[in-house]
Amino acid sequence: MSKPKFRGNNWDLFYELVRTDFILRYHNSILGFIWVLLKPFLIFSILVAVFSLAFKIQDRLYPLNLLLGLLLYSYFSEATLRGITCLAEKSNIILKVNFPKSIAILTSVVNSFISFFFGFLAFLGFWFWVRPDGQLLNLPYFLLLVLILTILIIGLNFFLSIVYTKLKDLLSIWEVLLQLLLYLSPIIYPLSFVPDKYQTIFLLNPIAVIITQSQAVLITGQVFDWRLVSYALISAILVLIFGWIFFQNQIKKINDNF
Amino acid sequence: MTAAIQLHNVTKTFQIPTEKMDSLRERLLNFKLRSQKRSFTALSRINLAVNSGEWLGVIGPNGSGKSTLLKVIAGIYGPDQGQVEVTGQLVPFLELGVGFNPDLSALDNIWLNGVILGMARKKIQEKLETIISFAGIKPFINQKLKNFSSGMQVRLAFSIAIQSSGDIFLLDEVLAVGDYEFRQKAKKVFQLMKQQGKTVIIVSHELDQIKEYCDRAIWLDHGRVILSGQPETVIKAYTKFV
Repeated sequence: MSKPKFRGNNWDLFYELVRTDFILRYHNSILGFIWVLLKPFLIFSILVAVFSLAFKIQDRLYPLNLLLGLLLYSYFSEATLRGITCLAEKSNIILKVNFPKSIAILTSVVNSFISFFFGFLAFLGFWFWVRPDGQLLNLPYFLLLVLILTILIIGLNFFLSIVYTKLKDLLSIWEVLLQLLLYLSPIIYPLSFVPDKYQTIFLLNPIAVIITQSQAVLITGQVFDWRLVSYALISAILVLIFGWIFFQNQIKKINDNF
Repeated sequence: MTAAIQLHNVTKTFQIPTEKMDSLRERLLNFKLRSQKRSFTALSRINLAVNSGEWLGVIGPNGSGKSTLLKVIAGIYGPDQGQVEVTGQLVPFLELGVGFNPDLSALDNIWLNGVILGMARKKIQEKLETIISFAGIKPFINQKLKNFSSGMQVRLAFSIAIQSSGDIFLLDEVLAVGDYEFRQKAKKVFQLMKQQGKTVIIVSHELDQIKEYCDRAIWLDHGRVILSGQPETVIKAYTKFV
């Protein structure tokens, strides 16, 4: 005697959802999968050309800092934008089959992570070309920061995807907030541009912490600030926990929203 | 006889907004953040027991709660009141081809639809040949689904669906598919399911099929069971009423 449950293999469902998502994204283009690698490389080339040749910025590490910041920011923005709509997009499946909906949330993150990964490979190409002071031995630190960012994204997606089924404006609101985030994070300008007295407030933004610390370990070769990183980690975990609780509470009623 | 499905006093009510307000602008313009709602009772205190191995037909006019009944049994909607108990593995066919994507090839759609129906990938691999030959689409397997005729899509969906193993099947208007030849094949599948002692609930407007397959029928109207009994008796009463 039990309540009806999804009896399938969750891992297999997750795998197929990711795979079809991936096929749909790249299968219809002529270059197909090559785009995944080519796109970040081309975008990076344009940025480097514009900022180091046209603007003649003296700091030789500037383009690398910019690339890394943009890479992390794009991962965040792409993954959350996909996350917002991931339940609404799958409403036709959700209304017909009872499966763990958290799988849909995780799927939305994986493909953005794949783009991020290939973007990072392109970044490494530029890294070897510039040869900055940071060392690749610090890669484990960077992986920790990416993990924190991913936890934050998943936690936010738990919130956003549910709210979007009730309030379709959320997508436009979120797009504006993402623009705001782009300029409130040290991506196109270094942290040193921010007046000292505002830096503490500025670093309350976990994305800013993740970006500055990534730049520190991989590019500028500064020391890893464990205090800031712990703060980012704790806030990401809190977002994940509250997101998960909210999600579990609301998901039972989700079918009434479609 | 053990009960495969039991419903005790199940009630399901939907809150339907009288005006659809799912954007902030509309809410602000109307000076209210809560939209007015009308409640609609889709199922009203339903008591139902389906024995293991029994075939139950559900008939009734559109909007009488037939599909909602299946969705509550499948766990897609939680009941507002009452309990649903299901013993055994349940396969819901509330629609054929759930998750089908027109831009994917037929082969990719088999994988996607298969896992959505709860099949393991290993099992899909084993059944792949059977599915393709049953659907009769071997030459077109790598073509995109959007190039398939609607009849062929339904045949493919049906061929995948029957491969998913379970003890309890919920069929919502999925009996009448395909051309004559395919229907004969489908008929054989149902006869086999009957021999294997599967429990099946069929929602259909094709009353002849209910008569042919079901051991019992219920007539649903406005979320209540009007009549339950022998398919012939219930269908006769229903057609007379209409």
